[in-house]
Order: sequence, then C-alpha cells, then structure tokens
Amino acid sequence: MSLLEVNNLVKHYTRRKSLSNKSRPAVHAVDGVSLTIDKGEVLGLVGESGCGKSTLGRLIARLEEKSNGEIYFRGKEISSIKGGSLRLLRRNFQVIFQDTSSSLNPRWKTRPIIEEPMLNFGMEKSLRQNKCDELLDLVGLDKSDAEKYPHELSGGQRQRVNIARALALEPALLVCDEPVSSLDVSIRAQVLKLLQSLQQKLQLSYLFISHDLAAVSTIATRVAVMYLGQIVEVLPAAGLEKAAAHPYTRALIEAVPMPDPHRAGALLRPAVRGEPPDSSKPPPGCRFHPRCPLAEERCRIENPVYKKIEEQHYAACHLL
Amino acid sequence: MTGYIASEKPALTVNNLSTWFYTENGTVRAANSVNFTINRGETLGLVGESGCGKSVTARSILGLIEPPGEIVRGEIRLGSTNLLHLEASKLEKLRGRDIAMVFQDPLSSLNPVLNIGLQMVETIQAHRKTNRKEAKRQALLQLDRIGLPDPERIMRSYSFELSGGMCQRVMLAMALLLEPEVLIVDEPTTALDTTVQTQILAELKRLQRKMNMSLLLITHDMGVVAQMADKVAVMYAGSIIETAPVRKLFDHPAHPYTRALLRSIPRLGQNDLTPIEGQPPSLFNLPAGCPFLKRCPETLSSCYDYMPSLEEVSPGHFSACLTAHKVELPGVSSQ
Repeated sequence: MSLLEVNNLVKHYTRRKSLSNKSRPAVHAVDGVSLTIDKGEVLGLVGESGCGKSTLGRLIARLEEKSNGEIYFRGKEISSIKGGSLRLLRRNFQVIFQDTSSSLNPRWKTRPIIEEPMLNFGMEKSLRQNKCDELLDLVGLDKSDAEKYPHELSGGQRQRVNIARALALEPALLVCDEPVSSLDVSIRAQVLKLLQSLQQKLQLSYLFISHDLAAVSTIATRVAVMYLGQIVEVLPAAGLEKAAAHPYTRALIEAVPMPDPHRAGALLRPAVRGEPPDSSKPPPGCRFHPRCPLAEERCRIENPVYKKIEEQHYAACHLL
Repeated sequence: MTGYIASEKPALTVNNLSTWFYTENGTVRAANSVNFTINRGETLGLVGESGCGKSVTARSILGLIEPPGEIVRGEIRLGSTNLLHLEASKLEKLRGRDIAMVFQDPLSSLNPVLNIGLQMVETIQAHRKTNRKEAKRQALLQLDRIGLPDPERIMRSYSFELSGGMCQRVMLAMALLLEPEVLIVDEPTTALDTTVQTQILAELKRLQRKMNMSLLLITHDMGVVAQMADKVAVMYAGSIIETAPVRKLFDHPAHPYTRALLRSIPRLGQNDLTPIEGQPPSLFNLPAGCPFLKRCPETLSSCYDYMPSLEEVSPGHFSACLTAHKVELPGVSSQ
C-alpha cells in the first residue's frame, strides 16, 4: 500500500465576471491527476510556472479544497475530512515553501517558531525544548541561532528553520515547494544535501516541487512531469535524461543549460517554441500539441492515454 | 568548433574600478579593483552569488550609482571614451545609443500605464531625429527581429497583458533599438522558465552575431555562462577572483572558490552534491586577507595577511589565489 495515493484529482478556480459582465471560463489548475508516493520515496514534480504543480502540492497538504477526486493517505480517504480530525491529520503533512522569510513570523525568535507545532499538539515544555535542541542540531543550526529573529539569519539558515519546524511533529510526508529556488547557488547545494540526508536518515517521503529539473533529478526517486494541469510522464529519476519519452519532458531536459562549454550551441536550438497557453482554455486533444515539434493530426483531436514504457515509467503521448 | 570570432579591439574596458557605499553602519566595499575588457563581438560572463558586486559593477559602468554609493576610483572606457569623466548630458546621449542594459525584472522596467509601442517610440525619438511613423516602423521591425509573434498587437499592449518572457523580449528589443556596441544584461532570464530562457538566449546570441555586439552577461547560473560566454570572470565578495576563456575556466578552474562552485551545482544524471560550507562574508568592513578564507579547504598562513591579486596561471587565465600560483595545472598548454 502506498503512503499517499491521489486519484483523478481536479481543482478548478471559478472567476468572477469581468467588468464588461462577460462570464469567464474557470481556470483548470489541476485537471485529473493521479499519482502515488511510497514510504521513503521522493517524488519530484516538475513543470513550467503556471502548470499547477504548486496547486497540486497544496491540495495534497489540504491547504486547498479539491473540486473533485480522491486523496488516500495510508489507505484512508482524506480529501473531505474536516474540523478536529483534519487537525489531527495535519501532523502527518508539513510544507516547506520557497519564500524563506514570509513563512516565518518576523517577530518571533527561532525557538518559539520551531516549538509552535509541538505546542499546538500539547507537548510538555521540557519535551519541547529538548526536541527543539535536537532539531536545531539535525538541520545544522547553532544553539545560539535559537535566540535570533528571522531577519538576523541568512536565507539558507531561515530555510533550515523552516525545515526544523516542519520536522517537529515527525510527519510522514513533506511537501517541498521550490525549497531551494530563492537561495544562492552555493547555499542551494547545502540545503539540497540537508534535505537528502534527512530523508534518508528519517525515512521521510517528499513531494519535491521544482522547476529545476537538475535539482529534482539529484534528490528524487521518481519524477512526474506536469503540463497544463495534467501529468504527462512519470519515470524513475535515475537515468531520466536518457529514458524520458514524452516530447515535453525531452524539451525540458534540452532546456537545462549544461555547465559544459564544450557542449555549447545545443542551447541555441530551442526544442520548443512559445509559452504554455492559458489554462482556462486548454487546447483540445493533447494539451502540448500546439508547441510539440512532433505533433500529428490525431494529437489535435484525441486525448492521449498513459502507456507503460517500462517498469514505473508511464507517458501520455500518441507517438509512443 | 573553435572558440569565438572576435576582433582584439576592446569595446569596453574597466580598469581598477572600486565602488563603495558609505552607510550608517560602515563602508560597504561592493566592488573592489575590478578589471576586465570585452572585445568587439565578444561575450564576457560575470558570475557570482547575490551581493558579490556584479550588479554594482554593471551600474557603475552606466553611471547609475547614487549616494550613498560612490565610484572611489577607476576608469571605464567605452571604445576610447572615458565614461567617468563625461558630463551628465553627454553620458545620457551615449546610454541607450552606444551602451544599453537589460535588467532582471522586466515588469518593473516597463511603464505600466503606457503601451509598449509608445515606450519604444519614445526611446527612438530621444536619440534620433525621426518622425513618429518612422519610429513606429523601426519598433515593429525590432519586435519582429527578436522573435515576438504579432508585433502590431504587442505594440498596443500594456506590460501587464504580456507574460514575463514576452516582457523580457520587449526589453531586449528596446535595448537593441539603437544598435548599441555594448549590451549589459543583468540576470536576463533568471525569473523565467528554462524553456523560455533558451528561446531568449538563442535570440540574443543570434542578434549579437548579426550586429557584432559586445555582451556583458551577468548571471549566477554557471550553465548559462557555459552556453553563452567566450570569457568568464568570477566575482566573490566584491572582487574578481578568477578570469579565463570559458573552456579553460570550466576545464581547469584555478581558484578554490570556482572549483567549489562548479562542484556544487546540480547536474542532470548525477546525484552527488558537494556543497560549499559556510556563507559569503559580509561586505561591511571586510577583514584583510582573502575573502574566501573561511570557506576555503586549502588555506596557507599567508592567506590571512593580504588579498591576493590576479596572477596569470596560464595564457589568458588569471587567478587571485596564493595556492594557484604555485601549482602546475595539468593539461593546460602554454601556447
């Protein structure tokens, strides 16, 4: 049994009528997504901005209400749980966001920030303090950092505080939404490495959301590729750059600027043109067809279905 | 494929440039004795982490440093003109026409209450004596050259109606309107998706070749530098610590910081990361000695005494590290 199973999840945002009183179509942020995350697994979720990857993460963490579909956690349907039972459930999911400062209360010091979730669940003071010290050590912060305000910490240190707080209740699943994107290059690797070692040490599961395919491939077990609210391919992270089958995944791989001047020039022949279309008006057929270099007639009409390429590797493309 | 085709005539020379900021909390030495030259048609990649002084260097070149900041010394030559000794009115004429800049955030660089067409026409008319109709024709042509679909519609649009990628293309089109000899681009694609980034970088490279323009590309992304630059200068805590032709820098990085930086970037198909421990130093009252000292795995006792200057380790390859001067670099041929 998977730790988390998502079935045909849908989130539509309806919009108010515009000033000219024209009703506007709903935004299909997440449009029929199914996926699983096993215990101790890191599922990477990649895609361009606006593809719905953050919305999917927020739906899974129950920060957003679904429009349709099911979410199973340890075999139990959780997408319509409310009130006290939702509160109890939340211990199991924690979220780490991109913006390291807006996710911390600027008027609180590190210690109360990390202890707050434990306080919420009624943990005793001495236990809280011990756990907090333990967590500080675990995420590589100094004891003295406990008495500092967020503005006294660097971006990397603030993200470590966020990680410590997220781990305070020993959750089963961490939703990491672009956790290193706002950090500097040299700090990015530190935090990635920390998340990697914590995951292995504590047997955590991550939904690791990022637009940076190279970063995702270093930490993930499997990678799901999202385009306009749908998952177009899921595949093992190891060897992804060779195994990827969907034209969109291929385009994302080719768009990663290689830190190798001997292979310069590849970047100067972009594989896809243009930008994703408006998600309130997804194109018919395969949603990627207007930008796909290989699109055929049926791609414009028929919806592609998932095909099994190999073990754990599925893609939705007519040409496979 | 051999290296770049560029004439040896420097289009932009920066000599010993130091820009400091005098704040209440002390002096921030944002740029310290920065030296580089960019030849006609050449691309220099200026890389470093945030706060290392790369943007301050760019702004100094364009004369955009405002108090409490001050260019304390140095020389900036555009061709044969020293920009630092130029009257404000002359500098204004030159900016945009001979040297232009594209900033990271395209949305805040565009005026939200004027349509794109008007802003482009204004730019042209500020520098050239042309009528509106002719200016509009030139603007349309430029939008088309940068690869924007339906230029007529773009001209009528406001910045908020366009995506980030389209806005950045508009900025690029505006910067290239007057065919400057030198273009400075400061993190031009950092806020954009990689799929859009490649398209914009490809257009930029194509137009650069066509116009034989010199490019100063400021970025923190080693991948972008590897793909775009002919030469690279690595900045750390306000100083250039290594500079070399792009292949030499990536194949035989001489400075420990460059080496650590290259090891710390995630690459596709590789899942071991070697981060650089610690953080860059604060630029307030930098101590004597090498600024990378605290994070460096290979320090000597003399590293504490003074900031090493850039020394040639192989032809065209300079490194500001006391250890680098001593070691023989494997595989570097001396021509």
